Parts: sequence; structure tokens; C-alpha cells
Amino acid sequence: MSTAFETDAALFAETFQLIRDEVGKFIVGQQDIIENVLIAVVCGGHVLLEGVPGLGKTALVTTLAKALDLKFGRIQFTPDLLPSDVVGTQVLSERDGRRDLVFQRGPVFCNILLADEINRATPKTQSALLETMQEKRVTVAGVSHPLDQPFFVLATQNPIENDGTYPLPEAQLDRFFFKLQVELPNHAEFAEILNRTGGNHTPEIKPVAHGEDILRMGRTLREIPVAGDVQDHLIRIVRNTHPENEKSPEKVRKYVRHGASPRAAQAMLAAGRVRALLDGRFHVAREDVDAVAAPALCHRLILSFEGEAEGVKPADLIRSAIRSAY
Amino acid sequence: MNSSEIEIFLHSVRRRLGGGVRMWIISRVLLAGAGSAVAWALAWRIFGYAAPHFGYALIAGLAVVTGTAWVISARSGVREAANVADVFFNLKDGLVSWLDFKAAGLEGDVYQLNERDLITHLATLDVSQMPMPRRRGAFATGLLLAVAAFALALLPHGAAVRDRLAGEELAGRRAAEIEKQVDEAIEEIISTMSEQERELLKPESMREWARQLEATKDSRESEKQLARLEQQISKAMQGLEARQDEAVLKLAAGELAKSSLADVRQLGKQLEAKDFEKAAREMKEMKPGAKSKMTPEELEKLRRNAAKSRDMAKRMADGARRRDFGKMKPGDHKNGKPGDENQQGMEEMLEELDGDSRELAKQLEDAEEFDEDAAAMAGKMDGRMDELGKRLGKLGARQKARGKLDALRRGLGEARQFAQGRSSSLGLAQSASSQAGGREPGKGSDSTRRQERDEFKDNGNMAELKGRQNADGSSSASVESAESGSGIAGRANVAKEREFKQQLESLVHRDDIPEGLKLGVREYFEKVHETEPSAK
Repeated sequence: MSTAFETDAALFAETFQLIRDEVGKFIVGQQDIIENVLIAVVCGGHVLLEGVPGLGKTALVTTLAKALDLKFGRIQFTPDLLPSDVVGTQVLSERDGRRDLVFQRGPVFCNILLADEINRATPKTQSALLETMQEKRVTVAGVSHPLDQPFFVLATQNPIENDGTYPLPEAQLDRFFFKLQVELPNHAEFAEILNRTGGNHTPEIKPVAHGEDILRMGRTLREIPVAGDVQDHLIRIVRNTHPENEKSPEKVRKYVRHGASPRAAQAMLAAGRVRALLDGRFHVAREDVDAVAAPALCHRLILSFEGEAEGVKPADLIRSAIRSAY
Repeated sequence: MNSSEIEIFLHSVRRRLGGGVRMWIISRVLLAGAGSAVAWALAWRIFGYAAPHFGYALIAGLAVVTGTAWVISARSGVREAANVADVFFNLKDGLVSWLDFKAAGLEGDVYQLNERDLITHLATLDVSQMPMPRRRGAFATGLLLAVAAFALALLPHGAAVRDRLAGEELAGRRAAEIEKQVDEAIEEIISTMSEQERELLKPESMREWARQLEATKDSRESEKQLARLEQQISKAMQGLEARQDEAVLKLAAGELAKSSLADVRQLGKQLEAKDFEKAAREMKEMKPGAKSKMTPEELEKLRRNAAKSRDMAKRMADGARRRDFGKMKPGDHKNGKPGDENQQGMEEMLEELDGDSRELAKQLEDAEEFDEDAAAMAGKMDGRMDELGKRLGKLGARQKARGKLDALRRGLGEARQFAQGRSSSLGLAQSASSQAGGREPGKGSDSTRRQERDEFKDNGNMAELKGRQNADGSSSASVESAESGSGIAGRANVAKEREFKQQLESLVHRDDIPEGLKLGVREYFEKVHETEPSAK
């Protein structure tokens, strides 16, 4: 005898798998990236994809948009990009002999926004995304314009060619659910990429889910309970990223200037729930929390001067924080 | 399967974990306890002792208490069991989460699903798959150590320790015997004391001496106690000395011996022999015995006694005058230790007796009849002689008391030998009542004066000086050489005499000389000092 929630859970897993499979038709390898992007999407979070050009970041986002049958928007961030180019602006419009200022929507009015090379825009333009990412609405001339639901920002940035770039401020980085490092594919994946994209026939991506499915999945995952011990474990991990915490690892105390915020804990909890559902469980385990700690925390740790100078990787610090949490 | 089966599963896990923890704790406690027991035994064995069994009992008790407390404190709780089982069976925090949801009383589809999945999963699991920690090595080592400790516990004391303990035991028994016999000897002395002696020797003080002897297994300590007691007795004896009176009486006795009257000579002999009580009785017989009305026979007896007493008083006073008191004034008795500061000096008393006897004799010669003046004078003379008799009686009591204490002191010398193990039996009461052996000090070495009728007293002390081979001990060696030169004695002879004296006196302080011999030496020198003009 199955319950309604069991049906929802099964549908969640099934939909997730469908989307993953559909995206996988075009994107070769990058299984973890695809899964984490999907986790962020069903949780209603934004993702910052970092990687050198040509690794398929943009392709991943466009493919995802197609698979989800969502309205897709793309902004190529450049230094001369203005906030109004992002959120929209008021234009003078004449209608029935009357001239009115009419709000013309910018490219953020979509379901999936690809903010390509976000670090190339000025901080002013970058901050224009703040309200849209957090509040999921745009306010122009004192008037708020809600964005369509669901709404996700999938931003990319290039870790090289730093000249003429504006690193994202901490406040804006904290608004990203996950930051994912897109790595170079291996030899077999390289060959498969060439095979799939080199011919006349490219894989056709069909919509396998809709915006409503994503919203329903979000509601389902929030039903998954978390035991006190597991939640304590999660909190300990986040607190262990703070250098002022006595129980933090030595590395953290030495190389971290600022640790992760409670928003990081929220992200880890939501992502852990998704992993529990995908694993067919109705409770979150510590291993779920541990698995999502790196993408949820790595962009939220601000390294100290020593950390930067010694080239300390945030992933190492996070592993130390997890070990200390047990 | 329902939620109670999850609890049963958790209970099984707890039991399994508890068993493992118990075995671990028992193995460790066994190891520590047996190791401690072996260490305990070895620590004693190094010094040759058998390990006292109370140590084993203490270690065993501590091990049991510690182990029990440890097992109780280390009992795993349900949550700990859930954590362990989650990890071992890869339940991904299923049990911990279930416990948490149950404790929070959360209900709903998702919790039921969670419980259902967990129960399904647990049904496929076997708690017995959880590994029990094997502690065979620790157990085996602990048992080996326990066997070793048991074996060590059975070993007796080493030969040297056995001998020492037997010695201590013997010393303890001897000390107890000495204590008992000293107590009995003192009670014996107290029971035989006259009233005068009781006044001189406080019985309670003597009992206090006996109480100062404590039970000990250390022969040295026993000897020290006896030495302290001897010192106390010597001190008491010194308090009983009346050298000045005795010296005066000795000189008086010499004069009395020259008398033509037999009774007076007899008195002189008794005084010479220091038999003061008899002398007092003899003197009582010589009293004029004045009465207000006298028959001619009584008057005749009075005249005879007056003549005797006159001769006695004169000779005694002459003897007293012979004693050179230097610049001492009559009545200054501090050097003489008469025992009573208010007491009249013996020579003064004899002087007054002489004066009164002379006066009586004069009155008896001058008066045609025995008148009242003569009777008063005779009465006064009686009083003087009574007083002298009392004085002699008191001296006798002092002498007796000293004799008893001296006998007790000699007995303590034997007791010291007994405590040292140099004699196998002790008869303190007999020794205390017996006399010293040999002749009087200073009279035993001149064979030319020896007479057949001289008898040597045998006090049964047959202790001999025995050397101990290959043993440590003090010894003295000196080169003695004859005085070279003209044969005239000079200062060297005086120095040699002093050296001999010191050597002999030092015998008293040596441990390797039997007490009997030391006692003789000590008595000799005491007598020598006594006869020397110490009052000068």
C-alpha cells in the first residue's frame, strides 16, 4: 500500500532521473556537475559554474533549459553592460495619443538565466542581479515586477584571463546555492564529445519536465525530515569553517578569514534532502550532508592572506571541517 | 515486523556491544590486576619476604570494584548502539534518525515510510555478524601473570628473613617476659618494704618504672628500655646515698672497736658492718633508762649504762672529729646527701651526745644521790640516744632500699643479657633478692690476705665473655711498657694509672662485655669513688 508521499517521492526520483538522462544525451561526462546543477535547480538555488572556456558550461545550461521546457535567457556580461541591460528599463511609449513610461522587461524575465562570464561586468551590474537572485523580483522606479517561477540563475566565470574582470563580492557569492568547478573531460569523454558534435546529427533534446514539475519537486523534498544528530553534524561542519570557532581545524583557523553563513547550512540541508530522496530514503543521512558540503561551502570561505599566498584549496579545508565534525 | 522489532534489534546490538566491551574491560582489568599482583610479589621477594596475602586480596578487591564500575559506566546506550549499527550495517543514519523522530513524537506519512523501510532493511540483517573484539592475547597474558602471582604467593620467606623474623619473635617474647618479671620483681620489692622504705621509695613511682617497659620485637629497643630503667634506678639509688653519715659512722666504728667495753665494741662491729638496725637496737640497750623513782638495782644499771654510753659517745665523737671536713661548718650537709635538708649533721649529733654524756657522768660522780638534775640529764641522754637510734634506723632503711634497688638493677643487667639472647632463662625475682657474687669490691685480688674462712658468694651468674668469630665489634689494643729509667715512680705512673682507670671504666659502656662483668666493674668503681674523700 503506497501513500501519497511515497508516490511524490517516486515521481521526484523518476523526474530527476529523466532530466539527468536527457541532459546526458548532449553533455558528455560531467555527471556530478549535472547532478549538482539539477539539485540546485530543484532546491530553487542558483549555480556558479567555473571553468575554462569550451568545457560545455553554456551548453549544459541551454540543454537543461530545453529538457525542462523553460524559458531561457542569456546575458553575456561585459564591462560596459548596464544594470538596465539586465533587469530592464522604462521607455517612453505612445499609446492612444498618450505618452507613458512603460517598463520594458530585461533578459532576467525568464525561467533559466545564463549569466555568462559574470565576473566581466562591473560590480554595479553584478549587484543588479542581487535582488533578482534573492527576491526573485525586479524593482524599477519603485515598482516591483515578480519574476516567473521557477527562476534560476546559472552563472559562469572564467578562472583565467583575470585582467579586466571584477571578482564577485562575498555578498553576491553567498547567493549562489552551489559553485561547481567544471573540469577538463578525460580521454574517452573527449572522444565522445567529438563524436556527438562533429557530425551532421546532433542529439535532439526533448522537454521531459516542466516548471511546475520543478516546483512540485521542491515541495516534496522539503517534507524529508532531518534527525537532530544529523542536523547537529551539519551545523558543526558549517561552524568548523569559522576560524574563531575553538573546535575548528588548525588549517581553518590559519587560512580562513571568514567562514560560511547560515545560508550555506540551508543550502546543504536542502541538497542533502534531494540526495536522500534520490537514494530512496526518507531521512537525511550524514553522508548526504558531507557529499554536498564542498559545492555549498567552497565559494563561501574567504581565505586569509596566508591561505591565498600558499594556494590553499577550499576543498581541503572543507574536508578538514567535515572530519572535525564527527 | 513493527517498531518494537527495531527496539529488539537495537537491544541485541546493545547486548552485543556490551559483551564486547565487558570482555575488553575484563581482559584489561585481569591484565592490570595480575600485573600488579606480580609486581607486589616481586617487590617483596627482592627483599626476601613472602608477599603478604592482604596485598593480593586488596588488588583483587580493587580489580573487581574497578572492573564493575568500568563495566557499568561503559554500558552502551541505545543511541550509541544505533550509531554503531548504522555504521556497521551501512544504514545511513537510519536507526539514529528513527530514534530521533520517535523521541520527538513525529508522525506522518514520511515517518511511517521511514520506519517501514528501516524495518524491511533490518529484517535482512543479523546482529551476530557484528564482530566481537578478540582479546585472547590480553586474556592469556593476564592468566599467565595471575598464575605467576599465585606461584609467588606460595613462596615462603627467604632464609635470612625467616631468621630475622624468628629473632624478632624471640625478642618480642623475651621483652614480654622481661616486662612481666620486672613487674613481678618490683611488686615483690614493694611487698617486702618497711614503712620507712616506703617513704624513701615511692611504690607508685616504682610501678611507673615497670609501666615504661613496652612490648617490642626489637632487642635493641628492649635493651634501650632496660638501660633507661637502670638509669632511673641508679638515680633513685643516688638519692638514697648518705655517704657523709656512713663515713662518720665508719670512723666512729673504728674508735668503738678500741673500747674496753664489750657492748661498745659490739656496737662498733655492727657499725663497721653497716648493720645499722642492729646497731640501733644495741644502742637502745645502752640507754641510761632514767625514771623519776628508781630502785637501787635500776640506779646501778643506769650508772652502768651511763658509763657505757659515755664511752660510746666519747669514742663516736672522737671518731667524728677525726674526719676532716675541711672548711665545712657543722650543719653543712649538702655534699653528704643526707636526704633531709633539715636534718641535723651526724657529727654535730655525736658532739651533742658526747657533751650530754659527759655532763651526765659528771652529775653522777658529783652527786651523792641520784637527784632530779641527774634524772633530767639521764632523760635528756635517753632522748639523744633515741634520736641517734632513729637516725641509724633510717640509715638502715636507706641501705636496705639501696640494696633492693641494687639487686633489681643487677637483675636488669641479666635481663639485658636475656634480651640480647646471651642467656636462655631469666629469674629476675631471684636475681633481685640475691647478692652480688665474689667478695666485696677491692678485697678479692690479694691472695696474701686470703683466709680460708673467706667465702665467695655464688650468685649463679656464670656468664662468660665470648668472642664472635668474623663479626664486627669494638676492640681495644694498646702497648703497655714498663717504666724505664731509675725505677722511681714519676708522673708517667700517674698517667698510666689514669689510663688503666679509664680503660676499665670504659668497659661499662661496651656492648660486648657481659652485664655481670660490667656490673662488677661498675660496683668496684662506685665503691672506690665512695671511699675516696669525695666530700672534700
